[in-house]
Amino acid sequence: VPSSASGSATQNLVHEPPEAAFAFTVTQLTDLVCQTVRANGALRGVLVRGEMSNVVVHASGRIYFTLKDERSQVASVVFRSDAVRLRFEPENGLEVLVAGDVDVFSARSQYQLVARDVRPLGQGAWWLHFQQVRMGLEAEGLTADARKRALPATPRRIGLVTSPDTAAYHDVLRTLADRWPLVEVVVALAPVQGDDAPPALITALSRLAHADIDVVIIARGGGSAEDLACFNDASLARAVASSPIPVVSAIGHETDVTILDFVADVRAATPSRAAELVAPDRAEVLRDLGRIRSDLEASLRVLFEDMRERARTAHGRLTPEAVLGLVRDLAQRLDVAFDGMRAAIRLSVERAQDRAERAASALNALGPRPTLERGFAVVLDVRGATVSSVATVSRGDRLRVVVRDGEIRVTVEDRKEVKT
Amino acid sequence: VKGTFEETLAELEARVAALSRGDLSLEEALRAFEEGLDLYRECAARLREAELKVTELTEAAEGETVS
Repeated sequence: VPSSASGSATQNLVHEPPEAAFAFTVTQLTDLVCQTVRANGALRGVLVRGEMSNVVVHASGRIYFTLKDERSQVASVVFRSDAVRLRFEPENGLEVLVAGDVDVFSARSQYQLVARDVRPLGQGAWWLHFQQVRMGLEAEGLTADARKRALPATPRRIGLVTSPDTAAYHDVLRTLADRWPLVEVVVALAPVQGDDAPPALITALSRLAHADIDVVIIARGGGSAEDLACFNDASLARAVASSPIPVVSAIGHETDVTILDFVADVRAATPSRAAELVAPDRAEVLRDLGRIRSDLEASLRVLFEDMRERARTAHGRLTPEAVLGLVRDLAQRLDVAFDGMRAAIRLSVERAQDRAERAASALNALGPRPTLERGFAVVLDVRGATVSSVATVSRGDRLRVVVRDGEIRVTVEDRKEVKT
Repeated sequence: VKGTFEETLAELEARVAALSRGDLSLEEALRAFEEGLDLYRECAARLREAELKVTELTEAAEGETVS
């Protein structure tokens, strides 16, 4: 037997032993392992903890990673339907708890972990997600202090994004009614809890952008971290950051912090506090008004004193001649002012005429007039549009032929196209 | 046609400024003072009597209903 012969040649030359008839094919072996693994209840619904590495998020939406500890590793996959429900971005080096089934990837005869859910250990999925969103927005520059806009001192129209079911709705309206009822509140309702909330909040915000609003309050009463989670949504944060109107975030209580707080122009500790921040207090303004009134009276009193003083000193000098001189002087000043004004008006009229004439002659040079003067004509249809092709007229159409000194009305008898 | 509260307040402040400059004639000063008082009463009345107006944007986006 030549040792250098190829595999197939070898098989042809060697007599097959009888037991070859009982041999597995590779596929059969893999199928057997696969069936065995799948039939074993202990390998279904397992919880495995380990460190994520080689994380690849495929374009298909599947997430591949290797789950490992100090000595072993297992290939893992999260299918799309489960991947979209993960509350964090998988990252290399993350200690996670995986819930899933052990399965066999036939093409490689490799066993793998099909993860149904993955949760970060230690920090908690919620916290990690929050930090990831916050840092992402920070990297985009959306949380920078330089972006924060000042609120208008006295807004005319305030936008309120909230749900009528939340205490915040009434808190904001009550506070505004007490403090600054001169304002108009435009409410854009949206749910403030659950997965539907972020897109609805974004829509509400964009509707207010076209409602002539000076400032927007996004408000919600207190709740658990899960209840407030919709305000940690990254797309809501981006919508707030790109809002043309300043936004005040007013979510929950003093101690509640959401992503919205980082991108809003102003963070209010509570919804009532937000209402206090956006509008002045009428009690204060009334006190200011009282002061203005006192100033008014004081100024008048000073003026009276001054007049009385002047009257006293002028008493001796106020003769008829002096009064007459004063009147003449005034009349003369009036004449001078009048003449100056007339000259100014004349100059501006002349300038306007000059400009009009220059414009007219420029127009003339560009228009059809010089061409008509040379004997050409312009043909117009009934709507006054220029006819420049036989294709646009039909027999019986009425047309106007404009020549140098007037118009000739004609009716189309025939038309003939000349090939050029 | 009445202006906004801010416009009325600005008018009032203009009267105070004109009066405190002290270069008005007696008639002008008296007129400024009386107009100022009226503007003050107008501002104060508006602050005391104003009622919050609440408008709700409907789901139909463009249409507005007053509640």
